[in-house]
Amino acid sequence: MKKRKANSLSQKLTRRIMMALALMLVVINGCIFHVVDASMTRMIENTFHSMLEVESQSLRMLLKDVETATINSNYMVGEKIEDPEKITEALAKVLSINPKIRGFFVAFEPDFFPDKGRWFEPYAVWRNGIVEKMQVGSAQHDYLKSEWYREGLKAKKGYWSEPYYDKEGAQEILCTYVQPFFDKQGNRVGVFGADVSLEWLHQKLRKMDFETNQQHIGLDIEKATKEGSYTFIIGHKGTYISHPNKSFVLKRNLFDDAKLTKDLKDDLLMEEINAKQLGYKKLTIHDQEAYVFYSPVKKTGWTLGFVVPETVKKLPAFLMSAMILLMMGLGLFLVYLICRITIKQLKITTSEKMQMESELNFASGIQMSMLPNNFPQRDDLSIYGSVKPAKAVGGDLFDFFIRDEKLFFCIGDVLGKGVSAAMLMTVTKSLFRAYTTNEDNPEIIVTHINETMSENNDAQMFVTLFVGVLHLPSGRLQYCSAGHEPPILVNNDVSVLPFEPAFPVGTFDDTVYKNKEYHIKPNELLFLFTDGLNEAEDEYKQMFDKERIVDVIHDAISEGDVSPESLIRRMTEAVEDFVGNAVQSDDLTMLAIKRLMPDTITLKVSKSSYPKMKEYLLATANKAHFNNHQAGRLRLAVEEAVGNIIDYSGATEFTLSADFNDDQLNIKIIDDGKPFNPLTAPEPDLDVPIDERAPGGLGIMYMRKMSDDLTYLRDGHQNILNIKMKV
Amino acid sequence: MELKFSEKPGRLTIAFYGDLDNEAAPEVEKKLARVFLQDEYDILLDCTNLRYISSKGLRLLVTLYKHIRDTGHKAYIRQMNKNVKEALEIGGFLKIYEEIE
Repeated sequence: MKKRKANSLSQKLTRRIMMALALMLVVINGCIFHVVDASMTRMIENTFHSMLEVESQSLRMLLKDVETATINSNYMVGEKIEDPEKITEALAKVLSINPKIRGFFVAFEPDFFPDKGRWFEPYAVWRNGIVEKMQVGSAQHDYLKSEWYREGLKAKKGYWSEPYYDKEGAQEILCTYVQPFFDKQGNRVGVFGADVSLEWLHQKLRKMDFETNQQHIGLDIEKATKEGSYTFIIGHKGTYISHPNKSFVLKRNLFDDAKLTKDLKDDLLMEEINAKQLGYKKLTIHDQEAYVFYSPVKKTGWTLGFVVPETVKKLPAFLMSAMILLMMGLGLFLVYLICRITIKQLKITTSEKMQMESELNFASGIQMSMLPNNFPQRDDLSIYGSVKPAKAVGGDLFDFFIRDEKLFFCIGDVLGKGVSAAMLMTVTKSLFRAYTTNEDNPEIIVTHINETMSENNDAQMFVTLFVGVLHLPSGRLQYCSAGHEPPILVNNDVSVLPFEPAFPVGTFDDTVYKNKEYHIKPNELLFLFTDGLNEAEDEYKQMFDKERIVDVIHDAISEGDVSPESLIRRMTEAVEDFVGNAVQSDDLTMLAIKRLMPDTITLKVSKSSYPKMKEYLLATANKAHFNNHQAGRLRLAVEEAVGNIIDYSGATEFTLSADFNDDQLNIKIIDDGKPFNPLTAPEPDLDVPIDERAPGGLGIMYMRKMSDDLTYLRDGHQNILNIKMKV
Repeated sequence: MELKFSEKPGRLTIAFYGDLDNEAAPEVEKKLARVFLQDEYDILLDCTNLRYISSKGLRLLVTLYKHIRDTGHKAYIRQMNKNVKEALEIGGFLKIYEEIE
């Protein structure tokens, strides 16, 4: 179940990454396409316009050659105007020096030479590499009605005829340049003409197309008409003079074709061509989008056109997009692979980490179970401890147990963190248990632990340790510190438990550890902690410090709430507030021990019981919130009664028990001695001189005067004296 | 309990530290033994640091007073706290020692 979930997560992650990348790819490609397309449009406009210009110019130059040859020949032939035979000779002569010209002719006005008839048109033409001469004017070939004749006759300089198929002469498509033919007086007597084969023009244009296609799009000439660009020429009326598809020449008319379509753009094209404008239009030709560039060829009335399919323009953009797509696709695939591999690795590390974490948690659980979590409920002792490890397992420890009315306790901090520290902590705790089984002297316990730990301490790990043994009935505390933070003593004030500086255990095997002793009074509290408390850091690396610890304790004192558990809870909250969002830098361990005075104690009837009685009375007065004066009065009343019991009752033991009410304190003194009612005993006569006074009566008087109420009861074999004191 | 003795010509000052209670009384009695052996001084009891006194302690002071009186010297007391003064007063012994500053 878990694995499937992880799988779907990885798939989801991969899918999301791929989708994001693909989306980016599409957007980037779209942008690139748009930019390339736009720049290609501009480039094509510029390129093809200038190309057209150049081609138009070169075409013009070609035609100009024909025109020049015609002018020269016209002049030379004009010299022979008197003799029709010589004209023919002259034509043949000039033709022989103009191999590019298909043929020269002169067509005369009707009956110019009366003996030659109405139509006279001498003609010299190349045939099989030889110049042939002939007369072609006849009724069948009535040139007088032809357009080229009429236009040529009235032309200023010359006129280019519409192309035509020469059925009689060259049997090919020809075009004729005609000029007026003058006699010696300067009269127009006919036209001089030069036939030009359009085949060379056609060849020339195809060669240009080929070069253009090769240079710009790399297509051969066969495909050029469909997929590539091509050049065409149309005459005045739209008839194709040149077209890559030869079947179009003379047979098809661009203008007619344009009129047939519903598209209005080509009609506009027609108008612009007619107006001899230079420009381009985007049209649909042969079912594909194409640009038609056009430029008039001067003096001929022809228009040079250039068709560029849109794919040509789009092609670089397409090519670039395709390349980018391919590369990005490869990139995507690579990213996919990386994702797969990374996720696989991540899964492995995650599972390893999870396993390690679960083991650490397990270890932490074991460790926590080793620390005391049951705190005994006793009337002479309150104890509470807490550990908060910084990492899953910690290097802090505390422990305690009670044997023979003695509280054995320790707190320690392994200098280090993590698993190794935790292991050492476990060892330390075990050693504490081991060396306390037959020993109650802290300095010996610490010395033993130190010797054992120093023996094989290759890891050079040290433990600060505080070991204490508290005799609960008397409050006598013997303690020994091995470099541990000195505990804080809390009564009505806050002080530090006196300490001897010493090395942590594990440092040197011959370190001498010495006991210190302190008498813990009832209601006095000993607060032990590790440096995880005073050295707890907030986000700004400021430490919690002893001052704050003392402040928290003072707050607890002023609120009258100084039990071990509440103090530790209060301290924990204060540290958590202080640390805020910072990461816990060190284990935090606290142990608080408070010696309590039970409300009831039973003591032996002996003078040796006086100290315990005194302690009991002071603690009880403290519990009842008596001031010093009241405490002294309580003490005096009870001490006199106890003094009587010890000195005179013959009892073996007596019991003191306190009962607190809102405004009064009842102390019951019970003994098993012989009956004695202090209320009935006579009071001393204070007027008698001191030398004559009877001994003993003074104590009873104090009992009466100090208490607010005094009652006596004999119950079986017990004397029960009840002393009431108002708070 | 701790006692401190300081002598000036003609006067011995005894300073009490702590509680002169039933427990401390036998021990204090021993410490005072030498005072009972002399007869040259007036005695001043310095109670500045005497916190508490019980009937057994008070009896010691009375015995001491008798000795001083018998030797013809003066008995002074100073700086009694509320509890000590109360105990002496209730016992009827407040006047036996002359209270001085």
